[in-house]
Amino acid sequence: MQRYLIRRLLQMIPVFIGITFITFMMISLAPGDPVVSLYPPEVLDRIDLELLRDQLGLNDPLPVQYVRMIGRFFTGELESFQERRPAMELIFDRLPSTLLLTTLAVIVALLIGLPVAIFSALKPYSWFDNVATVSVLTGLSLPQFWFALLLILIFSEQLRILPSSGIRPIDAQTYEPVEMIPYLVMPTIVLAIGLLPSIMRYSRSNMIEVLSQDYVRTAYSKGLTRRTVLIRHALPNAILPVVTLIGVIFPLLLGGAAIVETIFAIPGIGRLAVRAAQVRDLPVMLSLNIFTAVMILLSTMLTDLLYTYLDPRIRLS
Amino acid sequence: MTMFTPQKTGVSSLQDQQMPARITFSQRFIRNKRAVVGAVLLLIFTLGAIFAPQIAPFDAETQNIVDRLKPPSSEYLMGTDQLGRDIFSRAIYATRISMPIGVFAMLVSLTVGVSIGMLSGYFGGMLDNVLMRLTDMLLAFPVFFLLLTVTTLFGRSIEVLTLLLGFTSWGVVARVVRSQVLALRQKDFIEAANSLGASHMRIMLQHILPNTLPIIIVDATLRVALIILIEGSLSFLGVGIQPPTPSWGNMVAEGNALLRRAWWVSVFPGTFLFLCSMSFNLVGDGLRDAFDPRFGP
Repeated sequence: MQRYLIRRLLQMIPVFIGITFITFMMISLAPGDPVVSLYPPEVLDRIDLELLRDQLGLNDPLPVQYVRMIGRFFTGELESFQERRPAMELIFDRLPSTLLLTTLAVIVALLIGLPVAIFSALKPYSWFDNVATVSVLTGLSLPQFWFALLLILIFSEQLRILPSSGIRPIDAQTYEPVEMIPYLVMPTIVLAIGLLPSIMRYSRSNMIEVLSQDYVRTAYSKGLTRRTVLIRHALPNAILPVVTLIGVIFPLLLGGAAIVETIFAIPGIGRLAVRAAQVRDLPVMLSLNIFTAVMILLSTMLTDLLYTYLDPRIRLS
Repeated sequence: MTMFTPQKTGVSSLQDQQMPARITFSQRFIRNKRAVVGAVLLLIFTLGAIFAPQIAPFDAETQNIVDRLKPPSSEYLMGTDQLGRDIFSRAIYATRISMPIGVFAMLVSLTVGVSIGMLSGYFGGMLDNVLMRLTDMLLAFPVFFLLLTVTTLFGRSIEVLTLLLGFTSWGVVARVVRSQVLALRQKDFIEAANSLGASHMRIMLQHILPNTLPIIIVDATLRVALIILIEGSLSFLGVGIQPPTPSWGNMVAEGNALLRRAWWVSVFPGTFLFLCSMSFNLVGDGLRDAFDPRFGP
């Protein structure tokens, strides 16, 4: 187990280097002077660009610059020029809100998606399954930002039962968890709907496959009731692999979070990313890219570990 | 009368035998109601994009301040926006922006993804290792954040946006094609082609590629739907297609602040985006069922 863990962590190193390298190359290859994009315009006319380029080491060979950038990322010296604070600090400030929202969305999506998928699988191509399939396709095609606006239009503007913005950061002193529930309803729904199609598709095909397995037929022929076979034998084996999906839907969640947090004014890292892109706050965007990529790598590894723990048939190799 | 009937069925069953695959494929597709609905929708959008100037009652960019924020009426089918532009006309013209972006970005993504998957699966070894780690990296990137970054760095013109959307979405195709190639490489007919002295290039293009086509075509169709949605989201956030060029995403964004006063400014362009993406998804899903007889009615 320990050896496996260490090897997985070591395997992450080349991927991590690759990610930072690509990020670095993007900045180097991008048209425009990096000095111009790394500093706010009002500072630019007051400083000697050539001197600055020298000071920033932009005249050094690219490999030297690359190593320095990585160093600055780890020491937290990459500063947002918008807020004059280390970019990583901004990210960690906003992380709790995003984590809360995404966790809620995953839970809601699983609570709706799993039962529906399993009922679909029990009678493939029945009317229920057809409705579910159309819902999956609808969910896949639904623009999240538009759906969010429709919800606001109906529930905030017309019915006036849910607030469209006004959520506070989790660590704010005025934060009351119960008070915040209404603020979270619509964002969670929008984000969950973005996840539902993949969860439903995957669990449905898993369940159909499990139902055709020999051990299910054996269970039936032993004279067990349909209920027992389904709940004791089929369900656990159909649901377990869904765990592996968590790693896959993570990037999806972040994309959704960027949109949902922007529309509902939630102070999370998705909104931070959109804001940074709109004002060209490159240090923040760089740090966000690297940070979220590492999070995705770690979550993939954790889901693998969790899966091997839950399903002893899978050997660590 | 009855005497001739057997002869007739005899002829048609002969035709069936001559090209069974094609007949059953299109039959399976046509029997799938969802797929047909999708195909009709897709046709409408394609015609709308081609004949936009003939269909649209107004010009997409002409402003008419007197008629600003007019609700839907017989003159302005879907109302007007803040600058008095006809939303129906702008939404039709936006088809000319979003659909080509989706299709061309898909072609870029497909070219890169299929090449990488093919080379990786066919040659294996070191090359496979390097290419698959590259694919891992792309899949580990939070693609939406990556797009926010690259569109900021490389500009937001339609051409750049198309390339960026294509170059950031080939990961899944590469993996799927690779696994297909790995399975095909073991087959006897590849062995046969090899022993007849066919070059690697010839084997890949003539023997392996045609056998992976079904999966590639399905992925391509579904990918267009996804890319159109991503472009919409980027444009909505102000980092995609820039106004005054109409894109469904930036049209919805313009209505965002006006939601209470003029719901139609956001609602109708979003409907176009939804239906366009839906048409590709329905067709892609229908194609998947039609290609694979194990699934579908």
